[in-house]
Amino acid sequence: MEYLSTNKIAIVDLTNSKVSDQELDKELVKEKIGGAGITTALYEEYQKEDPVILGTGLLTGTLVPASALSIITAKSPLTGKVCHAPITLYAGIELKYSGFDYVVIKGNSSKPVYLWIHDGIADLKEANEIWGKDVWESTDFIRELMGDPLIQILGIGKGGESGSDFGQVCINYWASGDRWGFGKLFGQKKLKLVALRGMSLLEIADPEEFVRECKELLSTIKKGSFAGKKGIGELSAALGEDIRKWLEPIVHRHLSCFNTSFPTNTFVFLDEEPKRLKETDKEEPGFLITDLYGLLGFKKLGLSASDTCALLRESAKYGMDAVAVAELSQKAGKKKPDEIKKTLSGLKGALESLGKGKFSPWCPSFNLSTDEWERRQAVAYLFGIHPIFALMSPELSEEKLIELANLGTGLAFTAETLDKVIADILK
Amino acid sequence: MPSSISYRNQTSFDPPIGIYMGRGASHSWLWFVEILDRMGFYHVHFVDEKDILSGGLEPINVLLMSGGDTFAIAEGLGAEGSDQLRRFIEGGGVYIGTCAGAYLPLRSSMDFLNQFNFINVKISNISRRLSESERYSFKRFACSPYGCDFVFHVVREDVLLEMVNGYQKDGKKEIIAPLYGGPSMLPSEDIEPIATYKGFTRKTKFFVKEELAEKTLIGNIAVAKKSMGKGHLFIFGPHFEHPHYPACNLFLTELIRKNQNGRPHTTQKDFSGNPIKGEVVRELLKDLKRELSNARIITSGMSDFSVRWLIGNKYYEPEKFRVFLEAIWNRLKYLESGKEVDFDLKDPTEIFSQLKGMTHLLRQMKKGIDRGEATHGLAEDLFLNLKQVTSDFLAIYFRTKRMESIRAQA
Repeated sequence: MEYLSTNKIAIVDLTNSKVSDQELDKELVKEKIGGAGITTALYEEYQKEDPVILGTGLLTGTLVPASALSIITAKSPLTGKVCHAPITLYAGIELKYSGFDYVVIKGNSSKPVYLWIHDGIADLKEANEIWGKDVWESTDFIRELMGDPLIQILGIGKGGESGSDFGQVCINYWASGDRWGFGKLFGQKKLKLVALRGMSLLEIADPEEFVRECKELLSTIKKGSFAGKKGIGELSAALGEDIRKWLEPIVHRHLSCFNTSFPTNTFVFLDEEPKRLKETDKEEPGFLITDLYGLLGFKKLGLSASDTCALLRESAKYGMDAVAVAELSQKAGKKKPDEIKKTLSGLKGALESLGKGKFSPWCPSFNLSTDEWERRQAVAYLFGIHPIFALMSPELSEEKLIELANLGTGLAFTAETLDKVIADILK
Repeated sequence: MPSSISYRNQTSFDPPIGIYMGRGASHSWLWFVEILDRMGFYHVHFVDEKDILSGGLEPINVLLMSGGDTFAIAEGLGAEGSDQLRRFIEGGGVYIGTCAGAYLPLRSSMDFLNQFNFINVKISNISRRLSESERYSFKRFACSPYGCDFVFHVVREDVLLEMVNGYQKDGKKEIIAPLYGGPSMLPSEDIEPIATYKGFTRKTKFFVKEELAEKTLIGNIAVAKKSMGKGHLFIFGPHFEHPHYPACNLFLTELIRKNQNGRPHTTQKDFSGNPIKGEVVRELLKDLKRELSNARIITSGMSDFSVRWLIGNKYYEPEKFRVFLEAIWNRLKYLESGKEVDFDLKDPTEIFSQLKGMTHLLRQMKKGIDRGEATHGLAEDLFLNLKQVTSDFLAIYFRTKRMESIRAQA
């Protein structure tokens, strides 16, 4: 696969500690487009070896607005189905820039390991020094060891290591859209984390036209209904659960995922006085809220914004799905932060908020029907578009994405191709 | 001097060329690498001061001496190195010096430099030519110590040159070239001017008032030639080898091509003829790529650091380290795309070990900087390692390219 692609798939066999790579077959791209289409095909190919597949979308890491998404595809320990979780922030694009479009992680390691993917090389390394560390400590350790703070980490904490159903694969320090318990799979495989860094370049089949179209599309998108709005508070308002006033006193700033015009993430102050004038002496002044439903879940317990965000932080450090922590705490009648924090270890129970389809319920529905939501998510997960932004931006239409994919790859995708692939992955 | 320069016949004409990368050389010798590679000159040797002292100029026709610390170059070569250089030129060799490499053979009374004195010419950018107030304006920047005086620099980036004495480029008498501290020479009977400083462009960055810049540069000699025995020295104030200036690059390579009369072309092959093939070479290159990637990632992590190290008389920033790694990285893909690589090392894994050591040094340095510790010693070691590993890799690269080129012609 020549364009918009690294042309490489890494095959990581944890059982015998071997890593190999193979070319990405252009015919597979023609048939399955990319993202969830190809991760599903790879899952089926390797399913006997209980694989976790990391995959990029066809347009991930390009100038296409919101092309921030990569995905994790695996069988959810919670639902028993093959599901997809989003990799956002800057980790989604780093996978492609690190030199692989897809990574198949199969088998189980006998000892803790981590996977270091950089510039087209995938190295399995011993993780004894970080096994048992929380998500934040592990991220710091790898970044210091490898010498670059831009390294992106998909990692687990004690939640995943201990085999909790709600163990989450976190992104760097923050919660992710893994609502499927993929952290537990990482733990079972003794895979502490995947570290990503690369400085690859992508070739474009028709660069001039592709860039022109992307710029035009971005210009249109910027005039959209969300223009001038920012942050997770606005998302809550759009869902009819307006938390802006409740959160506002501790908001520090907002953060977009790669090339995404709306910042879906919000930094909050936690350990410092928000109104202090002196510049903070901490690298990040608190916590980045990346999971709206986790936030809403703790708020429902009647907690303050600060206590809520502190619990989100504890969940992320432990590598646990905050939605599960909040829901199960509510069921158990636990409403005090200290009590809830203690439930992180050994959390058990059945969730009502469990995702029922293929795509992570981390992304709000914005009052769409299930069918509409699923189709839109499928499109986002195929092309590598931020799943929340895909719902917010009708300008990123299926026709436009197909047109950009064709300009970028030189292939000839059609609406029929897309319909067929979506039907396949929703089966 | 013919004016038309083209890529024709470049590959069939491949004189042995030496690039100096030893003591005192900064990173700009990599610009020579870039243009030679681009122009199809693959018969390239990398020489340091030890090579020159041990007869390393013998197999080459052209020596390219780029920028850096002139004093350190002179000290490294010493009187014996000067004799070797003189013999090389008088025997028909071509010496092309830019910036520090241009200052080196100019007349000087300074220690070490006074062992060269190949060219009797004075420069206009020396402080003794300034008034007291003008001297004061240079006290803290844009100058290099030179005994009781200092060499000063009035502009940076683009300068407009006028070709003289029949020299021209594509029929044009003007050429734009980048100046980064190179000399401005006063007229002398000892040299034949090739180009003079004519003016400035919108890209010229002034360190001083334009009047002083004009007084220092305009009308003075930017590029000159001196013949010695059968050979020649070409002295460039501006960096004609800078890869962003293709017209300058072509002029430079044309000089190389047209000045090969005094020294017989060596016919010896400079590749082993026993390249490493198949899975072995793939694994070696993968190991190399792994370590190189690790090193690049650390230098990327240092890119925001406002730290620099004074090594000799030159300052180096983390970005300079990256230039070396990129020179390897950008050529690794070529080797990966082929089936054979002419490593020609007793131990082909040696370069991999070198890179691994360099990654270790970089990690130590990054940690040291993060912790606010002194890292000057590490920077010095790293800089030496980088030059060595980069030239070792590039030697492999050029040998492989030359091997393929000769096979293709056969």
